[in-house]
Amino acid sequence: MSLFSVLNVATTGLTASQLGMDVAGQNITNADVDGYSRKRLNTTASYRSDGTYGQMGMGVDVINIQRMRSGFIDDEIRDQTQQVGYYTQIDQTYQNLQGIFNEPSTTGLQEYMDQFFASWQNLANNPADTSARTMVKTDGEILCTTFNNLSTQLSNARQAMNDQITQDANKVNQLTKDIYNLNSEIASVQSTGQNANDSLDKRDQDMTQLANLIDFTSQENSLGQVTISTGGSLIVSPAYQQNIETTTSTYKAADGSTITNIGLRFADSKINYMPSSGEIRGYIDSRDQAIPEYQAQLDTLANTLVSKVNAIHESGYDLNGVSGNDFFDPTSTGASDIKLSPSIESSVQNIAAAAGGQTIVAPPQNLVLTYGQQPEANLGHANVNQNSVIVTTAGGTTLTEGTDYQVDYQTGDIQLLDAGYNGTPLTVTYSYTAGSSQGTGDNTNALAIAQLQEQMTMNNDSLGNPTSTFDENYASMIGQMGEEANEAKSNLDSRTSLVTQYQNQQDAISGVSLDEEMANLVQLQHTYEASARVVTTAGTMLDSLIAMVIT
Amino acid sequence: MRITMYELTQQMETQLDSSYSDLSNVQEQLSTGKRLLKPSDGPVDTANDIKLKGQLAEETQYHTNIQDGLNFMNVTDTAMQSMETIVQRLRELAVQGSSDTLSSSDRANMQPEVDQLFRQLITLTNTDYNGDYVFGGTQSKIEPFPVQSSTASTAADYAGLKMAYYDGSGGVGVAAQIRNGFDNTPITNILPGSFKLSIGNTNYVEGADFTVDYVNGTITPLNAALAANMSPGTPNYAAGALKMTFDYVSRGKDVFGNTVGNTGSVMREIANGVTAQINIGGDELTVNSQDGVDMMGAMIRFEQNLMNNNTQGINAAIGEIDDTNQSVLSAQTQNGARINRFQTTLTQNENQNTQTTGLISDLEDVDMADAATKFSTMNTVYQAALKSAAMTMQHTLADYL
Repeated sequence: MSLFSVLNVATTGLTASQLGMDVAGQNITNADVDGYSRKRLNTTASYRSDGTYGQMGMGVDVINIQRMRSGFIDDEIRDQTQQVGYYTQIDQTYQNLQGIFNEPSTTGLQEYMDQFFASWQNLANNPADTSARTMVKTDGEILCTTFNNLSTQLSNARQAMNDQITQDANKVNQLTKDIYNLNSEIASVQSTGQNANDSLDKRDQDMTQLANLIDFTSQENSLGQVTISTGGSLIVSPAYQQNIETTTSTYKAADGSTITNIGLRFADSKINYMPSSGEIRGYIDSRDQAIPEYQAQLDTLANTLVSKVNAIHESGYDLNGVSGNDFFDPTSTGASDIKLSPSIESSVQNIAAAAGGQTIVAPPQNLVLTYGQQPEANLGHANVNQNSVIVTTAGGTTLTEGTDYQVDYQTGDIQLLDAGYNGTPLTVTYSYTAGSSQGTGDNTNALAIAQLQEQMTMNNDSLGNPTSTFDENYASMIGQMGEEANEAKSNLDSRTSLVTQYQNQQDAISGVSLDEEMANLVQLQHTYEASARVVTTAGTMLDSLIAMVIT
Repeated sequence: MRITMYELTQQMETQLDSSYSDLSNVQEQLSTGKRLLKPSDGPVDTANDIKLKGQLAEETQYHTNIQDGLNFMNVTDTAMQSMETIVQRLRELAVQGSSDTLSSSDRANMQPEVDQLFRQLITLTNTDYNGDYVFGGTQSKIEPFPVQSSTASTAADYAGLKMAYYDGSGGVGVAAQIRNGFDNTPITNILPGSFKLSIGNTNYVEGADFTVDYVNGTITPLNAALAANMSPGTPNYAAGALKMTFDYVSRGKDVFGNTVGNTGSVMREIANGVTAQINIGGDELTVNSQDGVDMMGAMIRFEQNLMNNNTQGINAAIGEIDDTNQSVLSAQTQNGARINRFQTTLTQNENQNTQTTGLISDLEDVDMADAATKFSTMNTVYQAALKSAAMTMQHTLADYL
């Protein structure tokens, strides 16, 4: 027991206080740094065995500088971050889809479909009018363009996903490389029994970022190195890091265009890789499910429109009395390439507003019929109109149908029933239905096309009967989009709030409280000053002692 | 539980974000006046909204169709009313003409007025609405009862539709059919008084040299000189320069020369799946459905009887005029009933329209009072959040050391 040991005790106090202030200073200066975990100086009382007094204090021992962080909460955060990454993309995709379809509005597909059918009604009111015909053509073109634009935008949105996947794959590789490097840094520090606090912070942050991109499982060994595997394959281990790389597959779409899909695989093993969550999976699901779903529905709508309108249009007659023309190009395969047929493009005269079945009044015929001969004579035209046949004698007597003669309306055969008219010159007048246009003023066909709007045309039931109109089909498609957008949004919201909750829990442990650090600083300052006072006091005592000896 | 600066700021940020986004939603609703801005604002409402808008577009179109149909039928009605008035006047003339007190020249003098009235009737059967002949059926671009003039004087005229020739003669007193030089069809319904026959400068006189059956379109020579000039089968213009001019009421023909029917139904869609006819066929208007009396024939016979001073024939004409009157009246009644139906449907359509517009507004539009209240509440909350955040974050222990 000596005065010198007092000096030693005080010195350890000075050192510990200084170290504590270092730590507090580091904490304060890094309070705002992302991913920084609060550090704490762990100290313990130092002592020795003393024969007389049992244990004697030898000052303060610094054990280590501890990183305050819960690995368990980090795991929870990463689990939820994968989901957040996934739903952020899905939500984004539905926001995009809603933007593309732009409903409800006055510029959406709905509006142009209504306009298209209204212009057919308008044509039905003025079947021979060129301006009404031009309107049908223009509104048809606008409808086609709207379909084309929607389809292009959907394809572009789909294509954009591929670029995102490639970018994200690069990010994953960057992060796994960082983690691999940090692994060795951490091991080299921790193998000496020290804590690699800042490297650990950095790695935890990298892993959380990785969780945003893909799902993975991780394990930490005794040296603090992590092993990360995803999709059944190892991507980071203490001794190994494997990149993921992109693969390109192409196939032909129905409209002949080439569709490119970016896929992923492990660079070393060449095993195909499909994350089950995270941002990348969000892009893949948007590309392969959400967007194609609406592309397909839009294509079905366009194709049904083409086939239904064409079926009626083909049966009708245009201004030139020609039948069999299509309105839409029948070679179109869907929304992407729906367009008007070349004949409609070339002239609005070719729009078939009229139906067939023209009534033609035949010129009067002079006949002499022989009783009992079958068939006795033919009027010269088939499809004779019922009740249009009038048979008169030269004397002006009108014969009665059914008792004096009979007519087969389908074939135009006429036969005497009354033998009294055998050999009498007769005049026959009649009209017949010809297989030509009912006339330029006929609107039957235009009306039939206009009426498609209110007819059940889509969504066949099990018996093959359509159950919804074009409008209803489109409305339910937009409704479905809204439902799915809401689902994605609420999934995202709940996952985000979980992450926030876990982050708050983590922050309660690892966050820097400035007030706390200030209080610590004041305390450390006082400890330092007190230790210094111990040194001064011991010094004065030594002075006195030395003076005694020298004198 | 430790509360740190980071957590505090995070929480404030989250709360401020959420208040701000709520505020901006309500603000957007207030500024657009719309509650549904994208499908996710209300998927079911959006789907209904789209369906209702489609329905509204259809209803608006039906409104246009009904109005158009009404205009068409009103034009038809006006034409038939004028016809009605003319037919009444013709009946008066017929009654007057049948009177025994009139001389033959008095009757002959009545013919030009009757002829003018008749031509007026024909003009009315060719009434058009917006370029469509209302009595033309679905062949609305083809005049249903065109008055054609036959002015054939040279062989070249045979190429035209207006050509006419007699197709034969068995000699004096035998009727020959007058035919169209283009397609060889018989010509009927020649307008009396318009018929002239000449060779060179010699005019033949009707009654003295020949007689004409105007309704059936036959000519009967009364002397051998004329009969000789009417050789069978081929036209006899070149040889004898026999020239025949007259006007006749034809029937609408298409570009192929076929006589087209005029009773095709012109339809308008006036409500979902409901189509209604708006036109009266030319034949329905001019031919009595009960006894088959044709207006054209009736009028021609009336004129001919006036010219021929045939009192008995004029008496018969009164009956035929009554038949014509009946057919015009019945067409008018039918048209009137249709106008009534359209007007009733129009009222229903307008009510339906108002209702649908209301439903769309209920779905789409913002309840302004509600939104404004929400907005001011949210604004208060947002400001309180800002203020408390600002005050909390301002101080640390350092301020007091």
